[in-house]
This record gives sequence, structure tokens and C-alpha cells, in this order.
Amino acid sequence: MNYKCIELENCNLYMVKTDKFKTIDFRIFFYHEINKEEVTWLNCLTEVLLYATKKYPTKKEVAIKTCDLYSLIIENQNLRLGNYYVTKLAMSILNPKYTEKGMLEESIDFLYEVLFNPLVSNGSFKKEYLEIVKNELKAESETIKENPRAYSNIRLLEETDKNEAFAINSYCDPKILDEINEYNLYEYYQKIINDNKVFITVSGDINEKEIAKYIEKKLPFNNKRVIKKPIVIEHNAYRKRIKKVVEDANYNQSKLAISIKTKDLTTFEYRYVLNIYNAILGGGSGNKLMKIVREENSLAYYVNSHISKADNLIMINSGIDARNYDKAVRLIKKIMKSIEEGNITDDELESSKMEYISSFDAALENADGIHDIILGQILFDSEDVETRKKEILKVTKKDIINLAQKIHLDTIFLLRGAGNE
Amino acid sequence: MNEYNYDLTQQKIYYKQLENGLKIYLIPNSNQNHYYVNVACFYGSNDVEFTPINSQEMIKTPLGVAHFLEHKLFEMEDESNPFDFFGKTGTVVNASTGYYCTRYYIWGIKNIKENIKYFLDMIYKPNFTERNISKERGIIQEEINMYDDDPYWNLDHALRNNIFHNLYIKEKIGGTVESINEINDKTLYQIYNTFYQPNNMAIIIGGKFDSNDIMNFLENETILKTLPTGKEITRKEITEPETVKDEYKKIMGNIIIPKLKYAFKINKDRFSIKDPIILNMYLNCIFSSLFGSMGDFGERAYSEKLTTGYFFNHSYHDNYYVFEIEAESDKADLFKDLVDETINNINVSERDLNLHKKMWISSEVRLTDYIDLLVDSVIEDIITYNHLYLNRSSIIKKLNYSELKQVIKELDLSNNTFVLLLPHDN
Repeated sequence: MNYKCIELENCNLYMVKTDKFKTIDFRIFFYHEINKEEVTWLNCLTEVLLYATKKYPTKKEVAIKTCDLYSLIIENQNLRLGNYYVTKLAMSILNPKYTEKGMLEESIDFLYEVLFNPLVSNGSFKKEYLEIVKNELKAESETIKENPRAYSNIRLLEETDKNEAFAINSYCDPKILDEINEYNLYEYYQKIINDNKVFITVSGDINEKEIAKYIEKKLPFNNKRVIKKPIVIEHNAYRKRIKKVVEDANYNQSKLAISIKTKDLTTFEYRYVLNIYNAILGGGSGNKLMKIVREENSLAYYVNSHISKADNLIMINSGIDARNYDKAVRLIKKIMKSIEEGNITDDELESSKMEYISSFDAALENADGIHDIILGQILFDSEDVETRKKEILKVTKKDIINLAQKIHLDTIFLLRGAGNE
Repeated sequence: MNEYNYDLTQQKIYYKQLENGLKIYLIPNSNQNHYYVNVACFYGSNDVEFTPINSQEMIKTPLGVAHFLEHKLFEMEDESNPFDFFGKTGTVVNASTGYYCTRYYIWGIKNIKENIKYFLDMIYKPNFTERNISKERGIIQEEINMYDDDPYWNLDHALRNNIFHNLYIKEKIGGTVESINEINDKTLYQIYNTFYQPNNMAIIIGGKFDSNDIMNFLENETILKTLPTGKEITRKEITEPETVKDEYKKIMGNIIIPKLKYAFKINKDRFSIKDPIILNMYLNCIFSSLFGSMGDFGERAYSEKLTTGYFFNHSYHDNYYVFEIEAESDKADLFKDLVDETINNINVSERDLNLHKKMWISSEVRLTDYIDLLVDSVIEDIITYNHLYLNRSSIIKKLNYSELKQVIKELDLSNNTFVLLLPHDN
């Protein structure tokens, strides 16, 4: 996958010209160092900006306009990546060759509306819409516990290290929401729209020069902000004794969440060996967690592991019966020890590599995948896809054994259910 | 084999029915890197009562058996592990059980023929033993526990129980811990031999492959060639009355803010439009115009703080169209009142219809970028209409306002039910 980088006056534009899709997809990525209070402000602001604009001052009018533009899709996602909080604004349109001339410019005009022409009068956003947004965000933060799996992972990260960025979750703080009003939120908007870090990615059957020209003309980005902290969290220390936390909840099933720190990895280990280790442990199809915890011991329906590279963490998740907690934890430790001791078959190694390669082929087939790959290359300095597919083949069993020495089980969190008494 | 084109985008689809009744659909697209092979058996959790093959008497099977069988098909005759086999080439294998259909699929980049061969062995050489069944009970028990803990699944289940008197879709697909204990290998073979016949199954393949090559390969595959010709299947005829079973229910769950579901059971036989896909489109348009982002309901519901989030969808069961709204709300009564006010004053304009037509045609174009979704829609069409629609955009273009008004006139929303989910300490 090749992309072209064009440096616009106020930000960088990365373009992937491809005739694979009938759509043209834009992603605008804003990012900065995460700050606990600011999470709430930013979540609130992005919802308000998408609610209505000056030209389309009601939700209904926004909906009618997007429909008129041949079902333009516009969505926002705020997420934490390591030390950064990233706002991703995604817009997808049908390529004008399937609709009508002028749709490309009109769609970018609409994007301008949302970002730079908000519904503001007398120095404030519309109070009524802000109240609606605040209500929704408040309800979202009050109902975290309704999703026990998500709740367990949030608690796990808090218990792993409450001072690290990963202890900050992307839900709003109701107390901070109460402090936000239509005036100070507009002040915050003005501050952040003029001082941010941003880049844009575009994919589709496009005329690169034409799009670059129109974006530069229409979207007055700033990209002035300087970020000192790196995105990736490095651990200074690791626990010698595993921390265990138990919280009771009124469920039948218990949720087990385990954090594992990776420390002092070489570049090759961080980029490649870690992925294979995780695939063998609990991320790939024939993984050990599934085989042993689920198939051999019938202790779980789901058990898996995934990497959070920006956090230098591996997390294990499983739904079990509380009575089987000790057995499950013992089995998991045993599995990790066995990998350390080299208990890795050729098939496990080969399959993991094949799946890693397949995952790129899968990602390149949809716009989201393509844009996420570019995001990774810009924020994480990852190598290009072709290189990655070649490098992964170099991972050996010895590499995995060496990596296993740098893996440290940190915290075990159990959201303990009552079971089927 | 026959060649067809989807209209608007000219995406090709090839179709052939083998002598034994098995239907094969091929949707090649060289823009993709992968292949997606689905084997669908038109048997699901709704098919509880039927006459087993070679028998005269109707039987009733334990709840959850369709799903249990789906799990057990992953046991190979040679005891190899499908996840290991497919993993070697980075291929994903999985399955899912629905009300009317059980689907098995593989998704991969290489070795399509070897993988299809192993996949067909997995599906057409069942290996059900008492030992592998009892091992699975513990796993499925945890799966059931996981869903039982989920208040949204419980809300959905309570709703279906309220709507349907007799259709077995009112039951949980996975069954209960007690019902799965009744499952044994004899039952699984009875079901397998009755429903997993070629005349009740289809293979649908989308993505990157050569159609002629793959069709030839399938036609000459021993396992498919030696399948016995399908015999007719006798499922119990279940009559489902127009009315809902219960109009109201209150349940408790592990939630913090109350949720509700309000559903309407609509008998499609009562409409003068008899073409089901056209009728469905008009009904979808009406409800989306009223409750979607282009309608007034949403604006009022949010500004009057009657909800902190709602959405709606529709489903088709037999001759019934079920429309449901789900909402998070601590003012459930007022929310319901607003819904009632809206449906008692149905106001859908010609502009609403035209905007929907534009929206739907845009979706049809987008769909062809995602072969997997196209494959899924083929299966959905067979389940819902027993017909494959390649000309949806033409049908959409022909929708007109006078027919829409007629549908509104004939619309009867009096068969409805309301389920409220409250937190435990209420």
C-alpha cells in the first residue's frame, strides 16, 4: 500500500490512491498528551460540533443534508493511545463518479461546517443542545458497570498503576461535566481549534492534486502544538509480587482480567516478536489459552489475550465461574511458564506468522484498515506493510523465549459473580 | 452454471444447483485479497418440532440443540483440530446459529481448495460421541451464563416471549443449562440426518477466486458428489396468531439506568401489496421517517430528556413484520407516550420517501465494496424471501408515494407489547 504525503500549509495530508473502493474516505486525526480533565471537555465538544452547525442548525437538518449528499457518513471517535488522546473524525462519501459532479467539494464544505462553523451566537454554543449532549455523556459514564467486561478492564488498568496514562479511561467525569457550560465550552473550542496537532488521511479513486488543493483552501487547520511526551509508555519497574484485586458484583459469571507488563524490548521484539508471543498465548486461532483453559478444562467459553502496544501491556480476559478462579490462574501461569521454557511447536509459530500476514491483507480491504495502518506509521513509526510481512517471518522460537523473560505478570482483577448458587 | 449481474454495479454472481439439491452461489471479485466461504444449513433454533427422516412420528427436541450441534460439528473424524488446521494458512473458521439458519464459514487468503476440502469434511462427516458431548456441556454452560448475565439479551428474550405465542423464536437460541443436559448423540444424529441434507443447504463463496475453477472443483469433490439426494423435510406447521401474547412485562437486571423495548407486531397479509420485499421497504421507510434522524420524534425525545439514547430496528418472521424501539430512559411512561403520539399521527412526506430512496441506493452501491456483506445478504435473502434479489436498486427506484400512503392507511399497530427493564434495587 503506497501513500503520498503532501505538506499543506497547515498540516500534512496522506493520500492513498486506489480504485478498490467506490467511496472516498477522509480521516482527520487530532491528538495531544492526555489529561484527565480534558477528556471530558473534548468528548463534550466533539459531540456538540456534530450535533448542529450554523448552516444546519438542527439535528434534523444535518441528517437531511448528509442524506442529500448521497448518504455522506460522518462519525467521531475519541480514544486513548498510550500517552495521547486522539480524536478521529471520519467522513465517507460515494465517489462522485457514481453520484454527481460537485459532490466532492460539497462534502468537504460540509466538513468545514462541522469543524469551523459551529452553531454559536453571542459567544456561546446553543444551551439546549449542550444539555442534551451532557445528559447522554453523563448516562454513558454512569452505566460503565453495565458492561462487566469493559468495566473489569478499566478497573484492571487503574489497579495496575493509577499514575500512568492507561489509568485514564475515555468516559466523562460527571463532576467536570457539571462545570461545563455553553460559554466556557466555546472558549475551549476557540483555544483548541487554533492550537492543535492534526493530520489528514484520504483514500479512494482520487485526483491527489485536486483534493490537496481544495482541502488546503477550505480547511484552515493549525497544527502548531508541540508535544513533548512520546506516545508509548515505558515501564520503569515491574512488580515482584503479583497484585490481586477482587470486587464483588451481582452476576452469575465472573470476569477475570490480567495485566502483563513488557519491559526493555528491543525494536525488533517490540515490532514483531511480541505479536507472535501474543498470538501463541491467547490471540491467534490455535492459541494456548483456548486450548488449555477452554477445550481441555472446560473452564470458559471465552479466554483470550491482546496487546496494547502503546501501553507496553498484554491483557488477558476470560469469563469464568468464581469457583474456578484458582485453577484458571494456575493454568494461565503454567502456560506462560511453558512458553518461557520453549514449549512452542513449529505449527504454532508458523500459524501465528500466517495470521499476522493475513491480518494486513484483511485490513487493506477496507478504508478503516488502511487509515489505521497509516495512523500507526505516523504515530508509532511502524514500518510499511511489505516490510512487516517479511520481517515477521524472521521471528524464531529463541526470540520468543528471550521475550518471555521480559514479560512480567502484574495485576489480576476479578469481578466476582455469585455463581449459580 | 448460470451467470447473473447485480444491477447498478455489474457485480457478477454464478449459480448452480447440483443434482442432489445443493445450491451453490459464487460471487467473485478481484478487488478483494481474500475468499469467504459460507456453508448454510437452513435449520435453526426455530425448528424444534419436526418428523425425523425415515420416521413417521413428529418429535420435539431440547432447546439449544441447534447451537449445540453447531459446536459439535467442529469435531473431526480424525480428531484433528480445525482451528489448528486453518491457522496454518492464517485462515479463520467460525460458525453461528440463528433462528432459521446455522452458518459455518472460513475466511482466508491462500490454499482455497485445500481449505474448502477440509471444511467440507468438517461439515459432512459428523462425529458426535457421548464423550465429546459431555465435554462441550461445561463450555456451553459458561456461554449461557455469559448471555444470562447480559441484561440486554434478557430484555430481548422477554420481548420475544411477549410477542410470540407459538413460534419457537421466543426461546433462547442457546437453550438453558437444564435443556442442554437432555442432548445426546442420538438426538444430534436425528437432527443432522434430517436437516443437514443437500436440498436444505447452500454454499456461498465470495471474494478472490476463479469461478469456473472453483465450480468445477466443487462439482467433482467426492464428499459432495456422494451426498444422498435430499428428501423432503416435514417441519411442524406452527400457527402464530396476530395478537401478542402479553402486552406488558417488567423485569430486573444488572443495569443502572432503566431500559425499555416497545414492539409492534404487524400482519403483512392484511396489506393490499402482496410483494413482500416492496411491502417491507415501505414499512421500513415509514418507521425510519418517523423515528430516524430526519424525523421529529428524536428531536423531542432528547430535548424533553425522555431518553439518553434510543434506536430501532425491524425483523421478519413468517408473515409478521416486527418493528421495535429500544431506549435507555428513566421516564419510560413519557417516552412511550411520545411514541404513541407519533404513531397516532403518521406524517410521512414525499420528500421523506425520496430521501430514503437516495439513502438506500447509496447503500446498495457501497455494499459491493464488501463482498462479505454481499454474501451475508444472499443468505438473508434466501431465509427471508427464498429468492435472491439482484435488482434491489430498480425496485427502490420504483417505490412511489401513492403506494406508501396506501400502506399507511392499512397499517394497524394495535398489536404491541412493552417491556421494561429495571435495576435490581428498584
